[in-house]
Amino acid sequence: MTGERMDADAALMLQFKEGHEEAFLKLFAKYQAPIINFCFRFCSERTLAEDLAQEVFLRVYRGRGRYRVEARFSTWLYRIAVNVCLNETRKLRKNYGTYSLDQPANDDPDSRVPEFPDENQVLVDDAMVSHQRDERIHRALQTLPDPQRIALVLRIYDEFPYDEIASRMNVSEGKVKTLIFRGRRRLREALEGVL
Amino acid sequence: MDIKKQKTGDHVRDLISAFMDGELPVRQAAAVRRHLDECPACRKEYEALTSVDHLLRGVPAVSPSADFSRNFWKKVNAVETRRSRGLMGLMGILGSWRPVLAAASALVIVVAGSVFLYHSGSDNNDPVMPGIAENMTFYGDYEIVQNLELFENWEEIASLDGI
Repeated sequence: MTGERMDADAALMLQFKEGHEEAFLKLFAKYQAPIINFCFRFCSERTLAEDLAQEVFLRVYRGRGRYRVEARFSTWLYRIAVNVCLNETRKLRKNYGTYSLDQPANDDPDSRVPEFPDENQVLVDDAMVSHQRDERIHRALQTLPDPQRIALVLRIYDEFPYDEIASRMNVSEGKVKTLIFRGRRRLREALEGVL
Repeated sequence: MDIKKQKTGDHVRDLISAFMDGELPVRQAAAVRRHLDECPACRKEYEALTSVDHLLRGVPAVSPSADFSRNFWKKVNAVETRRSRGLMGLMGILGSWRPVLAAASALVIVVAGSVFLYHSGSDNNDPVMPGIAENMTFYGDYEIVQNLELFENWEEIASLDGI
């Protein structure tokens, strides 16, 4: 980042590299929710997503000595997240048993639909419909090849432009354009009936 | 997409995704927009893909669980403990091998010293007996070395018959 103004998060990371642990705590607090959500949208399992996110931050924590400001901090962080999702998901998923797209993707108690009293049956129905729709969307996302899913998640949820997605995924912008285009079309087919 | 081609009725389906993301150059985006106004098939495609985006965006985000941070620090501690144990283990291994390492170090010093002494004598002009003057003590056990004074009268001895 020579000649450019260093972003505040990169400066925090450099402080952490010099031994200031409170700088890491600030980065951890700022990015934990976005990284958990990125992982969750990638794998559709809450517990696994948190494990993946912890692995991302663990790599940041342990890699502080090798950190160099070559891009924005968030670009570096998401590049780690992309690598962790691509390489660790299968390994970590073994800890949770077999995952099937025919099963509900999310068995986490925190994300179950709450039980309402009978007089709120309408709300229950609405919640059920909404929950089922979300499950279907998660399952549809899981049918995409990993790179298509990552590119789409970075575009639609994190709203990064193509050039930043390319940096985070370490691919060309043209490749990102193709991944997102194909991903959208595939999702359109997978979500036929919900649209 | 080529605007000329678009006028001939080509569809813009391949460009709709990038158009939605605002990733097309201004002129190309304007051409796609015009085409969408005129072509029901492409407009249908555009609306379907836009609906996909809306559906995806409608899925609520998750919040970190209450023990996310605690579990993370547990992992950090476990990794750091394992690392420091690894270092301690290495130190322990080195400690148990201390006598062997000491003997090996002594051997290295002796060999290095000998090599150094050998080569330091190689500056001597006499290629046959390099450094012998500096290393007399090493050869002290040899009888000839103990009686070098006998050679002081070598010329007289050599002149005698039979030599």
